[in-house]
Amino acid sequence: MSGSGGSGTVADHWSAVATVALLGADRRRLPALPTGPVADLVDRRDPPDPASALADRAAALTIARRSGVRPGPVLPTLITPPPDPRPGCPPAAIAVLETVLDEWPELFEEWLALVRARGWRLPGDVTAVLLARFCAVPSLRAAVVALAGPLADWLSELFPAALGSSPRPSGRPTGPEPVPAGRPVGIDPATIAAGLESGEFGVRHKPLLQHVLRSLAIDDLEPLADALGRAGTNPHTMGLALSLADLARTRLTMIRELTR
Amino acid sequence: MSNRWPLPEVEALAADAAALAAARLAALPAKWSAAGCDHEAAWGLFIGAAGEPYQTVVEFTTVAARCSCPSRKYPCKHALALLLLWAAGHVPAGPARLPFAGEWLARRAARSAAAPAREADAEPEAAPQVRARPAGRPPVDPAPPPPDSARDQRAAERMARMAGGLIEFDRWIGDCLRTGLTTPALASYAAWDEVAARLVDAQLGSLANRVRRVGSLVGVGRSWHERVLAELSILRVLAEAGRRLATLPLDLADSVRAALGVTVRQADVLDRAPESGSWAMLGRSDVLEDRIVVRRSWLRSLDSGAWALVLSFAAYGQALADDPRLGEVLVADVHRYPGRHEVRSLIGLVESRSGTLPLAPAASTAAGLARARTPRGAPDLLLATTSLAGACAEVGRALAGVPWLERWPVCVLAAPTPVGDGWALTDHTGSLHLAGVAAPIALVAATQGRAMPIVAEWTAEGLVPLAVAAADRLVDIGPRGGFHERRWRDAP
Repeated sequence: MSGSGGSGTVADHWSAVATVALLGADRRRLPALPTGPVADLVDRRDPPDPASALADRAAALTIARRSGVRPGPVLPTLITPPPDPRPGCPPAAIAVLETVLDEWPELFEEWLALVRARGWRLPGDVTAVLLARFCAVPSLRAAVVALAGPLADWLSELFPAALGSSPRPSGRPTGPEPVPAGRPVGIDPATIAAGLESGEFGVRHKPLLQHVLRSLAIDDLEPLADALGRAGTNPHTMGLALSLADLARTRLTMIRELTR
Repeated sequence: MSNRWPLPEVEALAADAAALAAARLAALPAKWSAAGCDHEAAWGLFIGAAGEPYQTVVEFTTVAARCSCPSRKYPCKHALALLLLWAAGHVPAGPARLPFAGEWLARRAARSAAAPAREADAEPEAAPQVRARPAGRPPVDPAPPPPDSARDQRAAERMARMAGGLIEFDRWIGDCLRTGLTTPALASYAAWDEVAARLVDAQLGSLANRVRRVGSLVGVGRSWHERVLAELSILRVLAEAGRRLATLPLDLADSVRAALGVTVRQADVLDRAPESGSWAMLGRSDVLEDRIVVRRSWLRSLDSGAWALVLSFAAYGQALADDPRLGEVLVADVHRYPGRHEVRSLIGLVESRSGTLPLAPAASTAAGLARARTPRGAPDLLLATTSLAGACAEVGRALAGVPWLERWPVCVLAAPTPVGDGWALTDHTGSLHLAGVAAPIALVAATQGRAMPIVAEWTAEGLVPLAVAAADRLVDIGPRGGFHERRWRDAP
């Protein structure tokens, strides 16, 4: 800790005692005890052997230093990033992000787009987490930087090793475009559950089906999630159906939380 | 009631003269409603200035009491007052037990019925209830338990093993200091591990873990010898205290036992008087200790500001308890382990989960309450903070009472700032270093370099930040050591 009792006497004496401990009580003598409260703590009628005397002295000094801890000098603070007037991202949106990144990172770009559409400010801690996570994925990192604003540059300059460097984006950001909820896709949602049940769709179609679910209109998500949740009779596709149902529900929750 | 205690014996239960005086003021029949007693207990509702009456029940056999008041004194003035009334004959015998009294007494009876099964592993002297009893023994004392010579012998053997282990440990520290900390024998971790293993054999598990931690400091950093010397000298004080348990004040003896590794049964902790009220989960840290992840969850009473520490553990592959969640507020009974300045606690009955921390009213100027400074007029979490100098004073008081404490919680209003090759918190009273040299990215990002309420653990190595109260939520920035499931905040 900083500081150790004001006068410096305790700190100096501690340093000398620690040197004796380093070299051994057999080889070095303890320095004379300065007067003061520490002396009262180690006062002993029977002078013990050198090692015990050293241990007693060290304990008294450690207790004095730790229990007498004082703050060090007032330090200059960091230059803070410029204030961001946008309203903060509400905690519910951050909770959704947590689920998305933990379970369905495929939905992250849509999360970003929804937050951007709402005009929300990314909290500092979330910005740092996203910068660290995507520092090796330039397009996503740029999208995070674009959304976070000056805070992202401020953080990157402080912690370049962990958060990545921040080249000024030339022109417009290269981030993903907002995903319009309900972009039409070529597959009828009603056929997905049936296709899984009949075995027409299998694990090899997983990427395609996930893509379809990520693009479906919000109105189709809930009935599809329900249908997938019921598609439990085909043992070969049951797991896939349940996982897709979870993706549909997660996306539905995300859109509802971020658009209400 | 023929078995009522004489008044002086009840008065002897008071912690001090002030407590007795307070109890006498509460021992007026007009202040009590629905009071009653039977051969086992007395109960009643104390009608005080507070809106809700306090529910008080006192059980005679072990002089255990339960009261819904927020007092941390045990027994509280209401329990004492009820006993005074009872001793004076003002509590009628006969009425049926009030529901809260009946439930509590039934729970206690069930626990003590289950106790013999646990007795085998237990440390007899660790039962706090027995020592919580006053010198003046109540006349309704039950017959003494039948002597259990096998149990007594086991206890005696354990004490002997512990004493032997402590003497050997003391001698080993003496050898270290005689030959010097640079002696090659100390350079290998195996040497420390061997000392720790012998302490485990002597049933001094907590001390053993701490010795292993000291061993890992050797040779690390520039002033490692100072840190090793400080820890060894403190552990020697602890070991010496362990050999003089009988001469120590009871609360300090309990602290020494806990620090050495004598466990206390959870049932005994839950039998201790609870601190009831609103408790907020303000911070937590997960640290890998000897192949187990230890999760420390810090709760703070919104009524008294007292801290409580709840531990949970997970071995490989197990999930850690995520309950209560960070920022959650419980209305609950918190039972403290015995010991001086003891923060370790168990959560007993949970009355309600009132959700999250309260937000400060827009124009709050209440003394001692600081608001998170947010760029906009968003509602702020209401946390009682102190300055860094105030935090030092709190830590100092705790350490002066229990010098071997390894951590102490603080909640400060301060800003993170770089200093030398590390980081510190600073405010108008000064600065305190953060532990470790790793960049505190989460702390800096959550505060954006501004002064904000920060929950942290004091350790001898520096402060360990656990949470930041940012605008409308508590941001978890505590250590995430260990091997449990990676979470979204963890760096990839």
